[in-house]
Parts: sequence; C-alpha cells; structure tokens
Amino acid sequence: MVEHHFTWGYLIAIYLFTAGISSGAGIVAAIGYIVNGMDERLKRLAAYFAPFPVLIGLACLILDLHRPWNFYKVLIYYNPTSVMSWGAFFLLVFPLVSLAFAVMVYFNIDNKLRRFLAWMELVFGIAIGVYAGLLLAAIYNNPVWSNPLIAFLFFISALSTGICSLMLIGRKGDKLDDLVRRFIPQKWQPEKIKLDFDKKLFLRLLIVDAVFIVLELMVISTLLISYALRPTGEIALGAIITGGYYLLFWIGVVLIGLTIPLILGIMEVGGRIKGRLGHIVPWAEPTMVLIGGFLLRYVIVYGGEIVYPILTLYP
Amino acid sequence: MAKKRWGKIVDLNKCVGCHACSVACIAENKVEEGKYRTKIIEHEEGVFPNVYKYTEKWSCNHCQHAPCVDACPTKASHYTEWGTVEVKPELCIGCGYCVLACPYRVRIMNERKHGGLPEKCTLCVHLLEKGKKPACETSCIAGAIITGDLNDPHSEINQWMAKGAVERRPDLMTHPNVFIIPYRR
Ligand code: SF4
Repeated sequence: MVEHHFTWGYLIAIYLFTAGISSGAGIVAAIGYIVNGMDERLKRLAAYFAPFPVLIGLACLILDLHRPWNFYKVLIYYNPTSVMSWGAFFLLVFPLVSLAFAVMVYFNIDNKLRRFLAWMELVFGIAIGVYAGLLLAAIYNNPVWSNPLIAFLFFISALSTGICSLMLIGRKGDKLDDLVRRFIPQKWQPEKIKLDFDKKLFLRLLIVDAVFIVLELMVISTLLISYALRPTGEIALGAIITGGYYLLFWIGVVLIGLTIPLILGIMEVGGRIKGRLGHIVPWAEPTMVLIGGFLLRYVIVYGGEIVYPILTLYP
Repeated sequence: MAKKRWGKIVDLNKCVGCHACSVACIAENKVEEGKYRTKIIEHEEGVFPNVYKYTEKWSCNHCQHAPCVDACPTKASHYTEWGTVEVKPELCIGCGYCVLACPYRVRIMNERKHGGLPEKCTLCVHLLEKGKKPACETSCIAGAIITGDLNDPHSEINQWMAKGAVERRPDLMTHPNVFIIPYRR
C-alpha cells in the first residue's frame, strides 16, 4: 500500500558531481597561486574553469526545488542547525569569489586582493566539496546516508574529478583561450600564454590522480565495512552492492570509475602503453573517472532513497 | 492559563486497521491524491507458529526536538505555540530536506502544481483550537485515538498516558508529543 515517491533524484546527483568538480579545480587553482612552483598552464586553467561547473549544479538545485519562486528566502533566512543553510551560504560565496579570481588571473592583476581571494577560494572550495557529502551525511536514521565517511569520500572524489576535468580541458587549452578572446576587445587582451598541457604535465597529473583513486578505493571499502557493522547494515548494503544499483556500483563506479583508470594511469606513467592505445589513454582515463564520479553520487543518492520503504520502523 | 501542549495517543490494542482515519484525514485536509498524512502499517511479529499481526496508525509525531525543524534551511518548519510542528508556506522553498530528515518518514512532498509543500499531519490544530476533535479521532470506529492537552493533568489524554503510553523510537531522542500504547498479546 505504501507507495514510494522519490524526493531527490538525478538533479541532486548532478549538483553533487558538478560542485565536486568546481571544488577540486578551485582548490588546485588556490594552491597554485598560494604556493610557488605549480605549472603555469595548470593553475591558470584551473582558475578559469573553477566557477562554471558549480553554476550548472546550482541551476539543477533550483530546478529541483518544489517552490523555486521562494528560492531567495534561503539566502535571507538562516537556520544555524541546518546543514543546507550553511551550504546555501557557501554556494553563494564560492562562485562569486572564483569568478572574481578568474578575471584577475586572466588580466594578470597581481595584488593583495588577489592573494586574499586565493585564500578565500581555498577555504570555500574545501567548504563546497565537504558540504556536498555532509548534506547527505547529516540526515540521520538513513542507513545509506548517515555516515560521515560519505563526506570524506565525496571530497576525495571531488579532487580527483576536478583534476580529471582539467586534464580534459587542458588538451584544448589554447582553443578555449581563442574562443574567450573573441569576446574581449583587442586593446584589453592580455598577451597570449600557451595553455595546452604537454605530455610531462599530463603524466604528473596522472600520478596525482592515481593517488586519489587509491585513497578513494580505500574509503569506499571502509564505508562498506562501516555499513556492515551497523544494525541497519543489511539494508544499506542491500541497496548499494547487491540491490537494484549493484551493476552501476560494481561496473560503473568500481570498475570503470576507479580500477580501469588506475591501471591505465599506472601503465601510461610506466611507459607500457604503445601504439594506437597511446592516443586513447589521455582522454579515456579522465573521462572514465568523471563517469565513475557521477555514478558514485547517483548510486548513493538513489540508494539512500530506495531504503525508505523497506526500513523497519523499530530497530 | 498554562500553555497548551497538544498531543495524541494511539492504542494499538484497539486499532483494527480499518483505514477510517486515513480516509477521514484526506477528506478533512484535502490531501493530494494518492498521498497520506496518516497511514496504517501492518506489523507481523513472533516466530512460527506463534505469529501475530497488528496494525498501527502512523503519522507525524510532533516531536519536541524535531529533526525536520533542525534541517529546514529557512525555518519554515517550526514549532507552534501548541507544541506541534508545522510549515510556514511563505518561507518554504520546497527543497524536500525535511522530508528526508524525518526519521519517521511521515512527510511527503506535494506536486509543484499543488503548491509543492511538504505534506504532513497538523494534528488538526484548526479543529482542536475550536474545541473540536481531529478528523482521525472522530472517525475511529474502535476509539483507539485520543487527543488532548498534555499539560492539563485532568485531561482524558493524561489518564491514557497512565495506561502505559510510550514514545515511538525513544532512541532517536526526538521526544514526540504523539504516543502509542504498545500492542500486547
Ligand atoms: S521543504 Fe520547506 S519546510 Fe521542508 S526543509 Fe525545505 S524549506 Fe523547510
């Protein structure tokens, strides 16, 4: 008799995914401009790219609201006990900070304000990355979501997907730069800087990403164990690894999203990939990580929702 | 006059699972089609061959420490002066966070075209304040439901409390205003 209505769905998964990418790219950019020695192309592209994914995510969040005309109220009325209220604040500040930072980087304005913005971008980049997971983890009595490890997992995945999207756009960095230049009057254009990533930079990013993937695999297994140790473990594991989403989880997240990119990455760095395959890896590895990152959010969001009707009412 | 604290007790020994309260609630509160503010849950307990079955009326517990109120980003979900939990439509953005935060799963999101508000029991405060009884209580064929002022020591609800009423899921520490008298064989 009890019919089930999904409250949150793929729009929330898209938001969690895009906010993660922005968070990862934002953190890379901020670190790049706070600490010396990061590759110029990488930190520039990261700074330019960081504001945009989260804007898509924000649009999805608003589309998902059932009373979107009231949206602005979340910015006016605050509830300190609500995680979402904090998140609204982070999501308001981050795009503004990162857009301002991107503009300053683009026009090579280097002053105190930019250094301050770099720190802000670091803080709010971490905030939106962690918040994405906390939003779910703060809901208690949900066998799948109420687990602080979710926040940790989403944050690591945010760093990994952020780096992977940079690897992808780094292949077309100069073309993107030309595109942007079309909209800027000639006299204001800063001088051209080469933005295309070369092989060496790409290999370095592959190594960093491999570290994140290994971490992510470790956190996923810890998460599954911590599910199993709870009284509700059967329900949680049933939703994710054996139930309706098991194919997405095992093939989508674990195999395509983590294991294969890890193997490809290691082989590429070790110089074991030759011939035609060599042209595929540079875009296949990041794309697979991105697909896996999205599916991870998708599985966790829907996994948490489908456990609602099968929840036993008494522990 | 002392402040009121409206509450409700459901006696599971009397409930026969006839769904009269669910239907009466839908009629009284014009609940959206296909959704329930109060529903009947069937319990099957025991080990074969000593199995038994009973039903339970399930609706908002009007917690005094409500997870939905904690979760709401705009304070649209709030405590009323009578101790119940309600939603202010002018503040609600329809994010659905309270629906997910409720550990009792009693909230349901309305469709956008019907206002998009999270739907749940209001304890029929509009009737209680007029001195009437909620729709579920009036319609209950077994007399299994009682509502009243928990702060008034002479009210009928407090006599029911003495019969062994308990909170639902005390482990969640939500301190509801709605109690049950557990089923005894
Ligand atoms: S749906 Fe409305 S009442 Fe519920 S948490 Fe969101 S804003 Fe608050």
